[in-house]
Amino acid sequence: MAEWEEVARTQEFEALLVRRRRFVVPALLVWTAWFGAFLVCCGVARGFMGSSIYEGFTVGYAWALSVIVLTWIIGWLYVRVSARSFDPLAERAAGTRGRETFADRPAPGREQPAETETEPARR
Amino acid sequence: MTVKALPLIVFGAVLAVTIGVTFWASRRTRSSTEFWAAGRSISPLQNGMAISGDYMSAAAFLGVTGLMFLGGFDGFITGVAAICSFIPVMLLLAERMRNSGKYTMADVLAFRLRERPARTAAAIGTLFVVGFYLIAQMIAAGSLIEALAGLSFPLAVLITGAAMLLYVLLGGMLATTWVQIIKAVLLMGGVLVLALFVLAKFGWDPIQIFNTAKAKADNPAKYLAPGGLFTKPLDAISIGIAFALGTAGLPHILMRFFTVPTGKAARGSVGWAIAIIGIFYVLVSLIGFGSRAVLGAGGEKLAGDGGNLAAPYLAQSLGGGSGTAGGDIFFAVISGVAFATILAVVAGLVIAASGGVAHDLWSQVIKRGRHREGREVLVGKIAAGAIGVLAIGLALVAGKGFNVQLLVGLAFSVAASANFPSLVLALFWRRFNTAGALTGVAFGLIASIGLIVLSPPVWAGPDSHDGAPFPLQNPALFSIPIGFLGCWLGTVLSSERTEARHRELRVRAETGVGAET
Repeated sequence: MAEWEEVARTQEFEALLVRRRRFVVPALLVWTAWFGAFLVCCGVARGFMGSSIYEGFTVGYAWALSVIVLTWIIGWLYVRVSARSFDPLAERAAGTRGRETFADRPAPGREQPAETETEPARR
Repeated sequence: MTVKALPLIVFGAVLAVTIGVTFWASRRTRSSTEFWAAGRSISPLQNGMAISGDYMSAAAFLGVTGLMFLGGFDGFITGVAAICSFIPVMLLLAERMRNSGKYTMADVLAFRLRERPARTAAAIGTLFVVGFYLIAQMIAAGSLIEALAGLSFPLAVLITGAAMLLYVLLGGMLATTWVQIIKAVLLMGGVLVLALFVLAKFGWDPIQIFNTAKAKADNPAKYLAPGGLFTKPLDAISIGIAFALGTAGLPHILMRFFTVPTGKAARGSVGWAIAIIGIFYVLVSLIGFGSRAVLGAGGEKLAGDGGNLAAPYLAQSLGGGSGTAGGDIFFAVISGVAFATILAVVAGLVIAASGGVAHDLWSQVIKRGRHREGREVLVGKIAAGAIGVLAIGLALVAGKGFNVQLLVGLAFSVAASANFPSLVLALFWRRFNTAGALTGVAFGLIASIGLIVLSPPVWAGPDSHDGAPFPLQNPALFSIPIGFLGCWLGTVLSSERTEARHRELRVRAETGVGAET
């Protein structure tokens, strides 16, 4: 069995997919909603976007800054959650403790058949 | 126009330092991995700075400042959309690209699809995006150097082109990366100083800047509100979407993920890039409003047709004005920063295009992977030379007068429509197949370029807003869905199944098992 098939069968790999999806999907939804609403308001709610919160500091500018801050927050959270949760799972799925993470294999998909692993499947 | 000595000296210094780096890098650039991926030796922080360098082009600095000078708040929308775009890049692509590819984004498609058609499609998408972007940057370089140093437009384009080719041909990706890092430091420094000067002038009170700018605007009621520049509601939305999704299809940005050792490092480099570019745009927003507040309506002639020169003239004014030592020095320094910015970005674009031609088309499609290692690099260099010369020629023909940020916006919409859909679907859609990739790239390219030709900036001339068959200034709102539609249509019409390869791709992309070293 090829190495990747072994990895695909591990519980850790399944857990990795699920957990990463649980972060990425909501994060993308929040991002789309907040930034999308900003764009739509820039298009159609110009008076509202141009109205002043404090002496010329407009709703639009404040919202624009908040989009940048949201980008920072999502980026920071993703780096953090990845390091704490996703990376350890990926390493365990790959069974890399004591082994090279990146097996030196030929370029993807050509001529050579996938290597066979002698190691029994982990479960 | 007279030749100005001080800016020329600064330009010369920028050239001397970057060419020095190139000679250093040239001794470490021999194999393909070294030429296109800097030997995978770049650290996350270095790569984050290089990504920022690639991304903070002349368009981002001069173009956004110019748009804000001319149109106020609307100019800032493009900047906000641009920083936003790193969220999909980070959450969907960065690590997965690094884990599943080798040198170019086509590698990811070729992994699960039929190699030759998939690579051909991706390489064509790459070349079109890079072409648009490159011409925009060359035009920026030419008109900028002409105005700033007094050299003629053609000579300025030729100097930029020659430097760009020198970096790429001698130093490959390693030199290009370090030129980007130097430029990112220079640009952040320049922008920070400029923003501080603006703040100081208005008593460290941003509110003062906004209100002074508003009072001096052509149309004060609209200046701080949306609608000053993008007159149609859909214009703001379309250009925002182009920037927000375009980054995820820009070949020269995606290529940077192959220069780091691991997927984890690729993710970290986007983290750094988000931090740096976010700060950059906050500072640029102050500079943009500040340029209107300081220069006023009288600055419109200085800033030029697209407003591209508002930033250096703002520096001149803040330094003490034209003719004073302070004003001249500040003007020359900001001009030099802009020059470094352009040089670095065009070099990054050319190396991405050479990867598309040599690694994808020549090595894998024509030679089917059977050739000697050194040959690929040689072909890459020949391709880089040809692309560079072609870009110089096209820039000379196209001439000046476009706002560079709007031109780059068009490159982003081609990237978002042609490259982004097939890349994302190749990674995440089980059913996706080769026919889907081909029709997706074709639909995206035809829709985005076709609508660009029919849109006001091209059909009716630079910076016009009306009198064209397609009413919007940017096609992304329509061309991106058409790109996805093409992917879907091609996929369901073809019976090819690639689920097995997709399972392998997914393991590799998610865990890094089997990734290129």
